[in-house]
Amino acid sequence: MSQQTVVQLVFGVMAALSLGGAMGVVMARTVFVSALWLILSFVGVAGLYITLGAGFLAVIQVLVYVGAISVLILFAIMLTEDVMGDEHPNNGQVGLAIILLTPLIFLLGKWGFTANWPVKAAAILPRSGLSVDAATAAALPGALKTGDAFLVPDSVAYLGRVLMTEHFLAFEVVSVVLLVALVGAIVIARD
Amino acid sequence: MAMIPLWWYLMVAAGLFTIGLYGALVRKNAVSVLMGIELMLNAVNVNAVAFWRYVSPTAKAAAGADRPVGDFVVGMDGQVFAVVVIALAAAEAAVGLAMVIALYRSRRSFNLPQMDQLQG
Amino acid sequence: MMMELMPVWLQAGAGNPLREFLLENILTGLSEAWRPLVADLLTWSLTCALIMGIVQVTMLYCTLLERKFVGRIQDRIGPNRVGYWGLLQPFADMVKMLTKEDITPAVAHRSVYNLGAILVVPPAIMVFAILPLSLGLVASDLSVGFLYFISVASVVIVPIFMAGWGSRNKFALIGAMRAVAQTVSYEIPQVLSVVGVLLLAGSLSTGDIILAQGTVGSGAQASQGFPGGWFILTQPIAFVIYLMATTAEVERTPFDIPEAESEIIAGYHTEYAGIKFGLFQLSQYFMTIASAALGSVLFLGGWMSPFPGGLLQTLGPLNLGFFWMGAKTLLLILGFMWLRGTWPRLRSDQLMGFAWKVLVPLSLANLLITALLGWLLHGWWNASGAQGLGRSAVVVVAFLAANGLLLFGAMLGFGRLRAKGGRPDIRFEATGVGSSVEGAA
Repeated sequence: MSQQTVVQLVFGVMAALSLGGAMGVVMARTVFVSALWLILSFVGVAGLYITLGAGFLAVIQVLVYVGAISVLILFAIMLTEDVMGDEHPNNGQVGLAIILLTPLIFLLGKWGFTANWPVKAAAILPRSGLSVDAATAAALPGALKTGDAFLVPDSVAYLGRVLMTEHFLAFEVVSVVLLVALVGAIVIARD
Repeated sequence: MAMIPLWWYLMVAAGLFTIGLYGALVRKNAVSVLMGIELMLNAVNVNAVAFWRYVSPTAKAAAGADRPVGDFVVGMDGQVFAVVVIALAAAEAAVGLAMVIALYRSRRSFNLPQMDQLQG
Repeated sequence: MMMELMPVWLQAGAGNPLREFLLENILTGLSEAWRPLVADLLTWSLTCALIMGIVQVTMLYCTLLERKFVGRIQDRIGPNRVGYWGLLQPFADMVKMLTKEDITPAVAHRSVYNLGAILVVPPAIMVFAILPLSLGLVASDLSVGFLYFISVASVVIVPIFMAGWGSRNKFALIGAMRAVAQTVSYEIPQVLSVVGVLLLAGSLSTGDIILAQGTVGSGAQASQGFPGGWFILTQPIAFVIYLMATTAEVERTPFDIPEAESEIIAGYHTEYAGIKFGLFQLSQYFMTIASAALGSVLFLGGWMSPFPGGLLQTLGPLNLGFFWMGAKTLLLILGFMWLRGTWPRLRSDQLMGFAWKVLVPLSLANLLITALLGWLLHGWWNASGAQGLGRSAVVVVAFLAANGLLLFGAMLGFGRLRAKGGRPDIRFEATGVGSSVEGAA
C-alpha cells in the first residue's frame, strides 16, 4: 500500500458517492428523498475536485450546490408537494430512455478510454521555486507581474486574477445573468 | 506520474451525465427533471476540471503561437469554466424553481404531463 | 515578525516539533516507507483530538455558563445543586439525555428522521478545522479557510430539513422551513460583511487574516501589510452586521424563530427526545462557539495579545495566544447570551425584512467604501515614508470616518424610506411561511 493506493482509494470512494447518489436520485420514489440523494452526489463531486487539486472549486461546490441549490430544491418541494411520495414517479419513457442511453454511455466510455488525450507526462505541475519572467508577464498583462513567485494552480488569488483579466468578459456576463435571474425569480414567484 | 488515470474521471463523468439525462427524460415531476439537469451540469464540470488538471498545462506550454507562455504558468480555463457553470446552475435553479412554484400556484401540481395547455 | 517572537508548540505538517519527536523516538521500528505517513497521521490525529477536547469541554461548560448568566440577568441563581456552584450540572444533563427513552414516531420516515439527528453534528465539528486556537494550533490552515467555514456551516441546514420533513409533524415542518429561509437569507449579509475584511487582509486563510491584524503600532507588521490593526477598528459596521447575521445563522434569541416555543412548540426538533434532541443542542452550541471563534479571528485579532507591541503574548516559554483566543471567543459568546437574556423574539416577517432590506444593502455599501478606501490608501500605506503608530492612526481614523458617514447615511436613508412607505409590506400566507418564499427564491 503506497500513497498512490491511498489516493486511488479516495477517488474510488468519491466516485462511488457521486454515482451512487446519482442513481439514488433517479431511483427514489419520493422527490424529497431523491433530493437528499442529489446532495450526496454533490458531495462526491466535491471530493473528486479535491483529488484533482482544485480545492477552491470543491469548497464552492459545497457552498453553492449543497448549501444553496439543493436547499432551494428542498424548499420548493416542501412548498408544493404533499409529503407522501408518488407511486408512479416516472412517465412512459423509461424503456425508450434506456434504449437510447445504453449506447450513449457505451460510446462515451469508449471515447474517453481510447481517445489519445494529450496528457502531459504527469500533469504534475511544478509547485514552487519558480518565478515569472518578463515575457510571460507581458503576455498576461495584469495577471502576473515579473518576479512573481510561481502561483500554484490551487491558488485562489491566481484564479481571481485570471477571472479579472483573461476571463473578464465571462465574469461580467455571469454577473449580469445572476442579477437577471435574481430579479426574474422574484417577479415569477410573486404571482 | 499521475496517480489516477484521466479516463477514470471521464468514466465517472460519463456515468453522471447518463444518469442525469435518464432522470431528466423519465421523470414526471418538474423538480426531478431539474435535478437530472443539475447532475448533467456536474458531469460537465468534472470533465472540465479533469481536463484542466491533465491536459491544459501541456496545451498552454505547447501553444506559444500568440503568447510565449513558459512551462510553468498554468492556464486556469478549466476552473474558470467550472466556476461559470456553477454560477449559471445557481441562476437556473433559482428561475426554474420560481417557475415551479408559480405553476404550482395556478395548477396545484407540478407534474409535467399535465402542463400541456399549449398543445394543439 | 510575530512568527519569530513566539515558540511554535503545535503545527500540522513538516517541521512540527511533535512530528519530529514521534519520528525520532517513537516510530523508530517502522520501515522508511511508512514512517512519515504514520507520523503525519499521528500528528494530525493528536492535534485534532486536542482541539476537539478543548472545544467539547468549552461546549459543556457553555451550557452551564448560559444558564447561570441568563439566570443572573433574570435575577435567579441558576443551577447550583449538582456539585459545587453547579459545576457538575453539564454531566448530569448528559446522563439525563443518554438515559431517556429513544423514540421514533410511528408515522415518521424512519431513516430520514434518524439520519437528520445524526448528520446535524459532523458539519458543526468540521468547521473547527480552520479555527486557530493559538499560533500553529490549527488542524488545517486551508488557503480557502473562510469559504470552507461558510460552506460547511451551510450544510447544517440539510439535516435540519431532514428532521423537519422526516418527523411528519406540521410544526416540525414549519420550523424547518423557517430555519432554512432564515439561514439562507442571513448567510448573505454574513459573507458580504466579511468580504471587506478579506479585501484588507488579502487572503481567505484564517492564519493570514490574523497576521494581517498585527498589533497597532508595534512594528510587528511587515511593511507591505495593512497597518490598521484589528479589523474591528476599521470595520466596525461589518463587525456588528457579522454578529447579527451570526446570531440568526445559529438560531439564537432574538432570531430563534425556527424553534419559537410559543408558536410552534419546538420547531424542527419537536419530535426528538433523549440523545437525538441532545444532538441538535450539541450542534447548535458547537456552531455558536465556532461562530464566536471565527468572529474573534476575523475582527479581534485571534490569538494576538490586545496590548501594543505584543505585550503578554508570551509568558516565559509559554505562548499565551491560546488564552487570548479563548478570552475573545468567550467575550463574544457572553455577548450572544446577553442578547438572549434581554431581547424579545422577532416576528418571522420582521426577520426576513431586516436581512434583505437593511443588512444586505448596508453590507454592500460597507464593501463599496472599504474597497474605495483600500484602493485610495493602499499605495500610501505600502510606501515606506509613513511608519509606525502615525500610519496606523491615519488609516484607522479614515476608516472610522467612512464608517460613521455610512452609518449616518444609512440612518437617514432608512428613516426616510420608513417615513415614506411605512412598515415593510411583506404578506403572510396561511402557512405562516409565505414571506420566506420570496426571500429564498
